[in-house]
Amino acid sequence: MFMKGLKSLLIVFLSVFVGALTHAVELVGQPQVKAEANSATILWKTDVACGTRLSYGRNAAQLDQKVEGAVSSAHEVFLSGLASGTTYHYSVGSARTKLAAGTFTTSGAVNTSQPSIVRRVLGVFTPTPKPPDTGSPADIAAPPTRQTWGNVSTLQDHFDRHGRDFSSKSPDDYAAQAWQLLQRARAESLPMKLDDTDGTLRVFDPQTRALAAYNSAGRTKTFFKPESSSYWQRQPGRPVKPADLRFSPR
Amino acid sequence: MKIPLNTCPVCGFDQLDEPPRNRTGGASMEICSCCGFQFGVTDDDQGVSCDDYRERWIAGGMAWSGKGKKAPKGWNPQTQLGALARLATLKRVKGRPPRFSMQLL
Repeated sequence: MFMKGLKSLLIVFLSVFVGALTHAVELVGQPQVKAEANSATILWKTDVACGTRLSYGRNAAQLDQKVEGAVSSAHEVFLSGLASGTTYHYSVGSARTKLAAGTFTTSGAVNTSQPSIVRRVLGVFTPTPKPPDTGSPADIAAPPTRQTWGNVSTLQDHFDRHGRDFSSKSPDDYAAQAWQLLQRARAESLPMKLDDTDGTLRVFDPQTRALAAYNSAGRTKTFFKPESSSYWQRQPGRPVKPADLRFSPR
Repeated sequence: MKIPLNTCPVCGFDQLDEPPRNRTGGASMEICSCCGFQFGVTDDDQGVSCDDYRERWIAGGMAWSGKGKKAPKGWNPQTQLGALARLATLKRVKGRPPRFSMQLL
C-alpha cells in the first residue's frame, strides 16, 4: 500500500518536473517597437519568466549586436546610438530560444555626412541609391580619388593626356568621371568586356565614345576617347553583364 | 636570358607596375613613366609602333616623362636602352653558344 502510494507520488513528481523542463517558452502577443531618430524601445511578453535577449543589426543575416536583460515575463530593451532613417533587423527571445524576429526603421533622414568606412569602401563599387531629383548616375558624387583610381601616382599622366577628352577640370574630376562611367555602365548595361587573364574590365559608351579600363578591384586604369572607330571591337575579353562583375558587393 | 616582364619594350625601363601585355595580349593601359608610351593606346589606337616611338623619344632628348613618379636615382636613358638592346639581341640568338670540348682539340 505504502509502495503503491510512493510509486504514484513519484509518477506525479516526474511528470511535473519533466513537464517543467520541457515546457517551451511562448511569446504572448507580438513585440512592440517604439522607434525614435537615434533610439528604440522593444517590448515583448512571454507566458513564463525567462531571460531577455535581443539581437539586432542592419543586415538580417548578421544580427551582430546583442542586448541582454533580467529574467522576466515582461521584457523591455532600450537601444541607443542608432542611425537615423535606418532599417534595423532584430530577433527577441532568451539565451536558449529565439521567439520572434522583425524590423523597425528609425525616424529622421539618413545621415550621409559621416558614412562608415565599410560603406565608403563599398560605395566605390556600388552606385548610391538615386535621389528622386537627380536623373543619372553621372550626378552622383564619386568617392575620394584614392578609392577609385588604381595607382594614384599615375593619375596626373593620364589626366594630362586624356583629361581634355572629357573637359576635366582637375585630376580628381577626371578620376570621378571615370568612376561615374562604371556606375552608368552598371545601371544602363553599357558594353563591357572582361579580360579573365588579369581581371581587367573595359567599358565603352558608344554615344560619347568614352572608354575606360578598370582593374580587378574595380579601380580605374585609364579613361579616354579612342580615335580609332574599331578600337572597341578590337579590345580583348568576353562580353559581360553587370551581374557578372566580380567586384560587385556581396 | 629573358627580358623582365615589367620592362617597357620602347625604352627598357624595368619598373613598370605590370607587364605591358598579359599572356593573352591584353594591354595594361599603363603609361610608361620613363618614355610616356601608353600600352594599348599609343600602339593600338594611335597606330604608333614601339620602334617609331623609340626613335621619336630618342630624337626628343630621352626626357623622363612621368610627373607622378620621379626617375630612379642614377637613372641613365642610354644605359637603359643599351641593356634593352642587349637583351633583345640575346633573345634573337637561337640555340646555345658552342662549347669547347677536349675531344675537338
